[in-house]
Amino acid sequence: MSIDAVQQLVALLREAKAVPRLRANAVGPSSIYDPLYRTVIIGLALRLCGKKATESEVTLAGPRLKLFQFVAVHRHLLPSLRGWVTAHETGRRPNLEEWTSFPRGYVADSLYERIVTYLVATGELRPEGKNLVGSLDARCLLGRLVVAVDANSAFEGERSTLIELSQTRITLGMLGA
Amino acid sequence: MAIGAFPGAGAMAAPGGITTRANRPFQVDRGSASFLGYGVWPKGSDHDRCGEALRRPLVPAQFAASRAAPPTDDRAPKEGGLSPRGEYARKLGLLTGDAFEAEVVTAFQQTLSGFQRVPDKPHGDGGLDGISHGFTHAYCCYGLELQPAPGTLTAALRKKIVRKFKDDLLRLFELKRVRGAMKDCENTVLPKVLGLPKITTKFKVIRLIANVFEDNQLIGDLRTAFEMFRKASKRRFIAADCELTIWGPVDVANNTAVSEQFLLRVEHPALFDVLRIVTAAVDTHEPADQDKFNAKFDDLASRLPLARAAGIESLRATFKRAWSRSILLNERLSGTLPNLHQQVEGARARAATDALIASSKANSDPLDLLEKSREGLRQQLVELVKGGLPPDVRDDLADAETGRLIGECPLDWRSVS
Repeated sequence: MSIDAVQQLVALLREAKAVPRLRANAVGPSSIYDPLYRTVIIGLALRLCGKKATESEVTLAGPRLKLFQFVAVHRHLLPSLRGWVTAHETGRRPNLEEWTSFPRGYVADSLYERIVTYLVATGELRPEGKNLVGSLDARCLLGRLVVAVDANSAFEGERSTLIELSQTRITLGMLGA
Repeated sequence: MAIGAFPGAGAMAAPGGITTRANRPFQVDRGSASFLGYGVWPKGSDHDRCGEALRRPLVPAQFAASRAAPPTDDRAPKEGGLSPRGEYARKLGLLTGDAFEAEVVTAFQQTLSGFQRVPDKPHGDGGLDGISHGFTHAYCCYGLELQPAPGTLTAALRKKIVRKFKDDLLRLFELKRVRGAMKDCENTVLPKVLGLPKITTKFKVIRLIANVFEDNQLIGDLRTAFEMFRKASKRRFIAADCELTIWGPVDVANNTAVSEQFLLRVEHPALFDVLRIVTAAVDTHEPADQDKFNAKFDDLASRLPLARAAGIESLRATFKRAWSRSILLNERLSGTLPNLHQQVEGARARAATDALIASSKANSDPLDLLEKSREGLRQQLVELVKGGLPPDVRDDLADAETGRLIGECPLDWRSVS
């Protein structure tokens, strides 16, 4: 866009006696950086991709959780992930481009780290080796959030992505863990 | 963080796109998303959880620290005593593989007007990465992938580099080794690159460029091989008086027009990849749900004489393109560099708030809002990547985000009904 485009638009608005308005509340950061939204996705990932640990707890390997929740909020990465998994299944080692095309963003996802630290500190999650164990009981935060999501039929896209991921064979070895 | 019911849960679900608080989905390009990563892990990444493959630095730290001594340069040091050229050389020496080759080629393209990159498709590059000076200078690059010791010993590195460049030279000289003897081996790619048989220009200089060049024995080893190949070859592509030079990162830095953009490229290769991919994709991108965007320009056209219609249409196209660029940038950044994307999002929100406050002051012209928004974006974006964004990249991002303000709902000029 040339530097004059804005000035030209302003000149035309002035001529038309139009008054521009800005709704500041509509310029907020994307919800993918909203800690509560990401907490919800972590809860959904645990429920949809985790395994039952005890009567009320589910467990999921930390590297998988980090990967799954990232792809759930960046669904356009799913085709890249599928390609990467297929390459592993067919025994063809993915080349550098395919390898780095996917995990760079997920590795650098520091918001996930901060949220998990918070959830561990508040007792919502418990590390057990490489796994994270959490309760989805309605008395816990994660449980309440997941129940609320279900009640509102919210995050359909994220949920369908997580369901697909739960059926995709991604080993810890593939993630280098 | 508030605990309990989350705001706007229902509105956040936006099938087909990344959900946003205001139900403004980023349009998601479902085409091939090929992010060329260069193996520079952002600070704060979780190495513990990423495992061995991700934990292993591409360049062993101890070795990296000793590499690429700063070149002599009379320009003012940037910081910490290293001049921009020295800093560039050091960072360039840390790149490996395709990333190193791509950076060297780009550096020469931006320095030598006649520099020609040689793609490796469909049947390889024939041993060449670039050509210049009227197709008389040939360039071969090698970004050695470094392994932990003992592979990092000087002698071991030299042998690897010699082996790679000997292979390149053998192809240029159309030779192959058979039981220690040299045999002719036709290079079927180079004639197509050079335009043979109609054009018979021969190489007068062959420049071998490696990311590691500290051992002076490398010169002797390669020169010996070069002379041996020259005698054995029919030299279909090589002039009789062809010269051989070997360069390292310092030589590249001293012989190219190092700018801020050069430095940013080697410091943030992934960001430049995103910008490059977005630039390539923007021509064919169409934002989803353009109704409100078009309604704004239709409204403007209805208020003005017909003579202004062409100008309005031109602006509509300009801002739509900027909006597309913003959508693509946000998609790519969020998936590739989420921490940087988060900063961009924050910068955008702060700029909008600042513009709103400034335009709300008494005696302010409401029409200043647009320009104030753009200026605010530029000021906020200056802080990104530690203030390292070159002005043209910063302005490009600011223009794209201004387009997004108009493309999406925040900025409007239609009458409130």
